[in-house]
Amino acid sequence: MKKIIILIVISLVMLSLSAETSIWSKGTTDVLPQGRWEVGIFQPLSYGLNETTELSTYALADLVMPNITLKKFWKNLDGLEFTSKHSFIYPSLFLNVMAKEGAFGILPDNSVIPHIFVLNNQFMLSYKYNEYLNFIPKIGFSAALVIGDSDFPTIDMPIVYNRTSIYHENIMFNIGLDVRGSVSSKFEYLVDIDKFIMDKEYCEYSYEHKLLLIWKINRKFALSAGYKLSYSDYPSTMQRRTDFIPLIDLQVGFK
Amino acid sequence: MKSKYLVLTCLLLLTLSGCDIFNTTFEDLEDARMYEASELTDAPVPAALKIMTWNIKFGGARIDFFFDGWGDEVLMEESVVIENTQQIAYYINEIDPDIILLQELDIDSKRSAYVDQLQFLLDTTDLNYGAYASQWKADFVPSDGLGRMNSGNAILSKWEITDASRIALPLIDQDGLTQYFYLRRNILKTTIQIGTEELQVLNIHAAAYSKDGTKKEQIDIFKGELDELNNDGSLFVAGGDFNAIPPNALNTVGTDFPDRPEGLADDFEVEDYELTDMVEFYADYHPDLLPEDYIVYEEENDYFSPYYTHSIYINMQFEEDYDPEVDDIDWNRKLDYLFTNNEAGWVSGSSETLQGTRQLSDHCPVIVELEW
Repeated sequence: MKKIIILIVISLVMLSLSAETSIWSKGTTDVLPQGRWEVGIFQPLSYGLNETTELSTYALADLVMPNITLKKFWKNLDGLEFTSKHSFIYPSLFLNVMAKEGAFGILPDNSVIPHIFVLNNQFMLSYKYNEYLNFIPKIGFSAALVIGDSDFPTIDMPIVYNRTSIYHENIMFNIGLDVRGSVSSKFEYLVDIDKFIMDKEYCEYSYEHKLLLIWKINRKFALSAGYKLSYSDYPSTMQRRTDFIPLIDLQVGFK
Repeated sequence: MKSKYLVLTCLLLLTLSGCDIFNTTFEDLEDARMYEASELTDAPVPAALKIMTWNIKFGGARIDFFFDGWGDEVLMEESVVIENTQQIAYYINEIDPDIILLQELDIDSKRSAYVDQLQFLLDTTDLNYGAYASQWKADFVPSDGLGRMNSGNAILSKWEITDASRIALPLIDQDGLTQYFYLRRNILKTTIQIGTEELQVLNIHAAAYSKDGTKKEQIDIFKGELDELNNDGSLFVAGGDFNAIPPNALNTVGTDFPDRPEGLADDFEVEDYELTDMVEFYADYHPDLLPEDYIVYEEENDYFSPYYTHSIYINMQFEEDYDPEVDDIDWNRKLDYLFTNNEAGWVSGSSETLQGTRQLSDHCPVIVELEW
């Protein structure tokens, strides 16, 4: 049972790294209404601070990986909505916990983990094609400040590798496009594609594509499922391939 | 309402379709992965084939790995892996075998810096073709910092391997999660075209730490494969690391037969060695070493034999400050074998156990010749 709990926590942390936005909010560039709370198994605990600002954190992951995200809606210019997201993550505690012998030792026990402070910035523009379809191009970068001795390997897993490579190389850029639409008042979909550009010393790029079907059961519950495809450069050329990762999540909203 | 069920079905299918997300499992019978050297070397058919079997410990040589019980190393630098694998290649070139059965060879593992050791050996020796079957494969092993793993058995040949398959062997009884990421033993079965004749070559690396009889089960299945070939009239050479001792071994198990410091996790305690494990192989086929030759040395040399194929550091469990560069290596049992059903057996006097490779792996190669 203990192992299962640890696995769930690890999964949460790992998968939370891959989430981009709260899928149950009205649209990718939209923020939650003031006073509304939302939380999902693999989605952050989000809170509408005011009509233009949303705060979110992966609450369970906070125990080992303090993180907070501020999402800000800036402007609506003739149907073009501009939003930005800024996240701060301190992964050193998590990496230290995961550097262990035996099960769930993601890193070798003799790893030396420095203090790592990560700042992630995303800028999104939403174009509403019609009532049912939104196009959201996005661009962003992550930067890491590393303090202290560092001697630990990269984590060569799909989705995780590109995001954690900045712990070694300090900066990563990303560019992508989300397409979000609705087929009825209850069902929505989200399709996206992202490219991550990294330092050549470790790897050069990775691509990710996601498809999510979202069933908004009612105002309190939403169920989503889909998949993520990841194609990435890794330290090993034999690893360059497409990985398929199933996604499923239950979200709960309040107010 | 219909659309609701359709969505639910889609959600379920999408979720279930990714069950083996770390890609650790195999079918009962699969094609092996085929290899070819970057440049092929001429290989005239000789009067006798020189066959070798060797567990090369993924080029880890004598590094103190955490699983040895007294070290803490997990991952090797690429330069170290290349250097160690190059040393193995040098040795192979010196012996110049025609066919090699390798165990514990990494082709895409983080612990060995993702060096494809099979391709490396093909490109640095006179061997031209290879076949590979994974025995430990996972996109990511979430334990001990191991990460990606692809390690297994290989057969390398100077002549073309025309057919190669991976036959799955029973798994050790473990909890589901551990078993999912654990080793999956197999038989690598190949057909090699040598001139106008075919030779069947089979390679096994049986379980080392089973305490539930799985090792014996695996060995028996291997024997069954050989019997089938023999009944069909096919000529075979078979061998590998059986993790089993000869039927007449004096040195069996106990305090005089240690591998690891006391107190190491139960998971890595070796199964008691049964003298019966290899009896049928010796009874039905020709072993690389006759039992009477094997026993002489064990009796006369106070439990030391030049035919032991597995070794440990003598002082590793008694001295906290032991130094692998200085302390001696103790060969302590024979675990590696070659067998054939050739009517005339092996070429008389051709069998050698090459303990001079002590710094390259915890096992040493066994070679023997087959008249062709």
